[in-house]
Amino acid sequence: MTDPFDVLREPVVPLAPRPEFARQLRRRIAAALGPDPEDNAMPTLAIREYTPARLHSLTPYLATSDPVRAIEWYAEVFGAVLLGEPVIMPDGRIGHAEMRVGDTVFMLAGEFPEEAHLSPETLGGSTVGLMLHVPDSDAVYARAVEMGATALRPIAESYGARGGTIRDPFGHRWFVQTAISPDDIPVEDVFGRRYGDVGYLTLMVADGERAARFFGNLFDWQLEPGYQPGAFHISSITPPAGIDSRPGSAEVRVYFRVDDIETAAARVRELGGEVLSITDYESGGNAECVDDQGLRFDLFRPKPGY
Amino acid sequence: MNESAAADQGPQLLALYDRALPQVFGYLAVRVNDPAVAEDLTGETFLAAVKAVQERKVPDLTIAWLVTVARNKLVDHWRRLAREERSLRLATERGAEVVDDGMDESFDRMRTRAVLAELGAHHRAALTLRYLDGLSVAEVAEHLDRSVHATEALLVRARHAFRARYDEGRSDD
Repeated sequence: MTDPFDVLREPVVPLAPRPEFARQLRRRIAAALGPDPEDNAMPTLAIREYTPARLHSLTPYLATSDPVRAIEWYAEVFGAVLLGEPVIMPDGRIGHAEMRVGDTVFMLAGEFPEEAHLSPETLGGSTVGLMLHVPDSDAVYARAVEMGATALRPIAESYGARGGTIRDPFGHRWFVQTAISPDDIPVEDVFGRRYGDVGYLTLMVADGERAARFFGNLFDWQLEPGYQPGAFHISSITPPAGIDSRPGSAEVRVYFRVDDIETAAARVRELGGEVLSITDYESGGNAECVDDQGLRFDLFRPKPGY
Repeated sequence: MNESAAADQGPQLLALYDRALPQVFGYLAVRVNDPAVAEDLTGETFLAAVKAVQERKVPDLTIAWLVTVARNKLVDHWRRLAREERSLRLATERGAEVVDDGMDESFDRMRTRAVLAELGAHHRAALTLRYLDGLSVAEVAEHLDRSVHATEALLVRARHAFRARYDEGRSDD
């Protein structure tokens, strides 16, 4: 028997919700799933699902008695850039502002005693120090003091960095640093620059000039002459690569990135491989290795800029 | 299921999300007639899916399974509504002898949705599961946590209530 109500049968008809809702729900799902335990190699992908693009996992939020002047001061002394317009509360206080310095965003607002958002001046000291890495810590330190900061510790070298400590005019303590030892600069957590990533390739051929012509014409590479005749550096591709001349050679040499050459070389030996040489070049440390089956490969620890 | 298959389902769920979202939202939006409620239930559906994935209770992670989860969330939603309405429920609905006269005309979809939205949550739930989703009486009974007999009786009353509202609306035309 047919039921007249059967005409009401409603198949599932796809309907897209609001894009903003779709994005938010995706973030909620990713956050609820948590980091994928199977996926240790790419933790940043999961983090990006629930962290705003402009931020990292941890963001300092400063309280200051004079946010307007603080914004100017951080811009002038640290080169920080104000992101967007500060939020002004109905009573005129600055409720929220964001600044970017280097690759990091920090936030600040005026004092809100009702939310325990109190400045170091009100509290009579600051319990948190902010470590800021800049290209030239001497210059930033000098400028900070000139602009009214209190010098707490003069510029000195320690722990692979050159830096000093100041208290800014609003009471916050900053460790202004420039790394000087490549060993203190971790392998960056980006594709091609992590431990074990292929960080460099060398095309090893009999005639490097000829390879430079061949591949330069094939790919439109930017080739820079190397230290020796017949050697070239190709910086326009990822990972960067080189061309080297050696009689009778026609092979590709792979350079794997590591944090520390000596440690990684020791591990090669432990695993039954062989370390042919360890050399410290201007571009960084390098170890020529052979695996336990005879495959030649290199370990490489680039210095800053390489 | 084996361990590694379960561990793979988190990323699988995210990979399925873009295709599954319009299906789940479409299923719910037509049945609740309120985009905000449909969004809430869509969120509940996917977060329940996350929980099921984490507890390794998903035999087969598909869009069809997600729609089943959505249906359960819809039923939960109606249960909540029914509890709120309980104090307001009309006595006539309970004891009335209802003649199930059937209907031989076809219904207008737009009006159907409007009329369904006016019905009490328990009537709406029964009619939606039985007719919009096309479930059997036994399946509707299972979703609503009632006996088959009670569900049949509920459906008769729901059809009557629907019919009365529907005809009322038409006489206003």
